[in-house]
Amino acid sequence: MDSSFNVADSSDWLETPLSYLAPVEQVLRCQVCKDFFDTPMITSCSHTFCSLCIRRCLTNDGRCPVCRANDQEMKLRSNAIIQELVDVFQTARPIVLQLGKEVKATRDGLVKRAKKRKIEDTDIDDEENVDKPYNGRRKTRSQQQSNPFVVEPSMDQAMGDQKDGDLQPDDGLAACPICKARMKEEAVFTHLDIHNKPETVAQAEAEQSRLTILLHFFISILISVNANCDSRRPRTKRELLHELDIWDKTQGRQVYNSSNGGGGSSSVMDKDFDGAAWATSHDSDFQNLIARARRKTKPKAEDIRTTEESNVPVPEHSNGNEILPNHILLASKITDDPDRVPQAQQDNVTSAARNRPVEVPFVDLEPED
Amino acid sequence: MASSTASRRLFLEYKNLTSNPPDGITAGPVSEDDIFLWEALIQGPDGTPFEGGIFPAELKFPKDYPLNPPTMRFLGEVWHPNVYANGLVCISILHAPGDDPHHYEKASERWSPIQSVEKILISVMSMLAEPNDESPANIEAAKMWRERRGEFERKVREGVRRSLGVS
Repeated sequence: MDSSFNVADSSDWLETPLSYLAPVEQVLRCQVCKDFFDTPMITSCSHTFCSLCIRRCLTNDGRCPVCRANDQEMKLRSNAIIQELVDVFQTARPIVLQLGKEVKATRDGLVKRAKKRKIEDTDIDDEENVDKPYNGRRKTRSQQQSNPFVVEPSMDQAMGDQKDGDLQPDDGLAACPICKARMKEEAVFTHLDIHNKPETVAQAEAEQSRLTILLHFFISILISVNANCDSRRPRTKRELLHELDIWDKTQGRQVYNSSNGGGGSSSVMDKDFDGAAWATSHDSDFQNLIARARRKTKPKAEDIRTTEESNVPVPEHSNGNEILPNHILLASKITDDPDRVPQAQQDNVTSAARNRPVEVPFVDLEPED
Repeated sequence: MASSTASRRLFLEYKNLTSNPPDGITAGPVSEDDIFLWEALIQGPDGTPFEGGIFPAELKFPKDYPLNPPTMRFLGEVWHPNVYANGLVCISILHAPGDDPHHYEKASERWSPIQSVEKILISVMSMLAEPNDESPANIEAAKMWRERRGEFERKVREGVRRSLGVS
């Protein structure tokens, strides 16, 4: 009986932000056994079922379970592409589902944290009101501060707070109210995003864009496979994979850019990219990388293996993935070459690597801790 | 059909019904030992004399499910043209295509392996709202429903109140 709670089912998606994958999964399941297609066969009336299911049904009453047209077992034909579709979907399913659940958990956590912060702020106000003379003004400020998503008010008040004693140098530049770096006035707003965006929001966004890309990837597979089924001259698997590769390089990239650049956050390619702020906010990452590089050159004399095992910190998952755009990660997995860098990926994908079957590389796509 | 196929499908249906239940319907196996015997609760549809009632029923699945349909029996008193005196429900979706006791059900409305517990219960819910008096299981109820609608509705409301223990 316990196993009833462990069976995978299309309703699993409904608990995640990916509920629109539930109907996709439903289409990949046999309407008779409600499981993923196992050796799918297509009837004369173009309905597909597991070989075992449809043979049992036809033996029972000689009719298609969907449209009740008469049919015979000997007229069944294999629907092989559906099998492949089911296979790749099932391989990717646990990973995508896990990502969806993580995003949900992150969002729930954010909501809770925002509420908690509000309560804490009110407490502080009460204490402050006792000895601060301008308590009325303080109160409004603190209330504004409690909303981490409002950029302008928090900047205004922070400037007011911190610059009380300071004289501003008359260089025509404005200071960042948080790190005090000086820059053109219009650059402050984009710069402030770096400080203001809570880490969890950034993480959630990264997860979201990763999911969007995966989803579009699935849809593109579905579209090419379905079109191929209708075609009088079906393309070979090789051609299909080549198309997918092209899709990844064109639309896949657009999907990534639109999901990343839409929110107004500055990207490295922007003309007015704030390099200094980027360096500040990613300082620890850079230091970490430098430290690791130094450590690698040093211990030539010692036993390299033990040094690496004991000293080198495990790189954080999120940092590693944020540097590489996700579709490139995906593509490098597909060409089965984990070391491929973005530039190399753009230019020289060897045709041999490109044409490897899809089902094998997907096995590599396991979530890292 | 191997009964393992049947039980796996029933597990899947149970999980789907639990995580994504239709309005006014709950259903599941009675005990952990027998996946082939379910109990269901159906809410009386709003705007009908059955409104406000909760109707328990049992579903018995054959070992070759889903090739053949389950049987459904109301456990309490239900005064309805399509429900036998012993509670057995007579509705086309519960009849296998080869088995048509009254010979005027369309094949398309009858049981097929692609039907499900959820669809059966939804059909029964709409049957409560709209009786089919062409193939009555309870001839007295059908007559009353056709000729003395007011009395029929009063009798149903009384039954609902009795089942809730408020009269």
